[in-house]
Amino acid sequence: MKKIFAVIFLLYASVNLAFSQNQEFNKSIYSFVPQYLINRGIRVDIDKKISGRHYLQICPQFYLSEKEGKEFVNDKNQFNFLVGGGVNAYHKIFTVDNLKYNGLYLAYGPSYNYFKIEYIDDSGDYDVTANATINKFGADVLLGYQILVHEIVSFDIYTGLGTRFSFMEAGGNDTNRFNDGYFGYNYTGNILLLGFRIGVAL
Amino acid sequence: MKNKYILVLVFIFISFTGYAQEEAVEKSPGLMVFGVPQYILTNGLRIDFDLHKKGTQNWIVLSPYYYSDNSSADLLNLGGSDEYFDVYNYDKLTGAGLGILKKTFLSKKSLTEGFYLAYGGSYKYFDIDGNSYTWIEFTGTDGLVYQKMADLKYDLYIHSINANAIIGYQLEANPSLFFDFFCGFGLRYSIHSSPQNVTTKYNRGYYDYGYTGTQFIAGLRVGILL
Repeated sequence: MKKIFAVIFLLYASVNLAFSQNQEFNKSIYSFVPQYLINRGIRVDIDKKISGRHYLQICPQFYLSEKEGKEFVNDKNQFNFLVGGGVNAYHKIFTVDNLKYNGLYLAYGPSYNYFKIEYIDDSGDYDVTANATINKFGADVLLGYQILVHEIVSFDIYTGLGTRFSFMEAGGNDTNRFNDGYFGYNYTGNILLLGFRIGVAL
Repeated sequence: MKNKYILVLVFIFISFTGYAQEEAVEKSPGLMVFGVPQYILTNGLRIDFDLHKKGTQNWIVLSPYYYSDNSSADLLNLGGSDEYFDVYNYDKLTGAGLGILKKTFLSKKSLTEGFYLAYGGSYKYFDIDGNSYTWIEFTGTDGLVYQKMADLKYDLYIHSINANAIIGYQLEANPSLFFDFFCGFGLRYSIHSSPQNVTTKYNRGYYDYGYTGTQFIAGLRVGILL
């Protein structure tokens, strides 16, 4: 009788141990990307596991800013009011089979942004208030490292390369407005990406 | 026979231990009160009342705000300089508001310490009185809207609403003293009105009274468990 109990106990223990070792991390990770706020954007990322080491990362963005201009000289990226939105979508592939603690990954995917901007166009004889709409398309390739703390909090640092094509319908004469550097809302060209994300697994 | 008694005693002990553990887990911490020191940089006071929802990892955080300044001066210089032609120079600022957050600890190990996620909103009202040169808006005879400088006594009212989400780490320094570090993002929209049509909005950045736009949120709270 004792032998039967011992066998049952051993079977139970081994099954339990095997199950706990193979337990997969299946939670979705919700992150926000603080550096987007420099450009007045909120970006919240949703990382959803597709299978094994493959994740789908959806990154909706929202932009809102109203500025109280004091400067008499406008720079290329200055505006009075801005509202915008966008989304990036990445296929993310980890080098580890089961992300539970940390992992290196490669991600690639397209991006799209829309902006509506009210600004002062000072390119003509008179300064005029103008409205512009911008459609910006792009694609990125990223290399990142994600760390999970207690399977609850996620820290992610990444770098990569991308390209952007912007199309602006300008309200004034200056059609090259907001195309001053990586942070320009109307930027066209290649960009170097570098970022940090903080999130939670739910 | 003796063994049976021992077994019964062990079972009773175990069952009591189980009860005690259940009690410890379910006992609600009740109320925590936090001060948020960084608000004093903008002439504000914020005291948070964290109320625990029994049987859950959730807390409700109530945050009343009170702003007051009669000197047009603060550590971030939001009142501007004391120069008569500075449009941000005011005589008196008063404000009040209320914030509410739902806060959830992400680990089930503790109800008062660890990483948490919180989201909610707030409303603030400001009344700024000035008596100096400032910009006002007026409609010309041609129907167009113009701005001009005027030397007048004016009132500016600001209604500011905010929605935000934060992630934080609450640290238990000792059983009754807590430190809370947090960061996150928010969206703030301010409505301005002035009987004298003053156009100054106090919208110079995240920290300003009449800000509109997305914002980065970060801070520290220091509090006690009551």
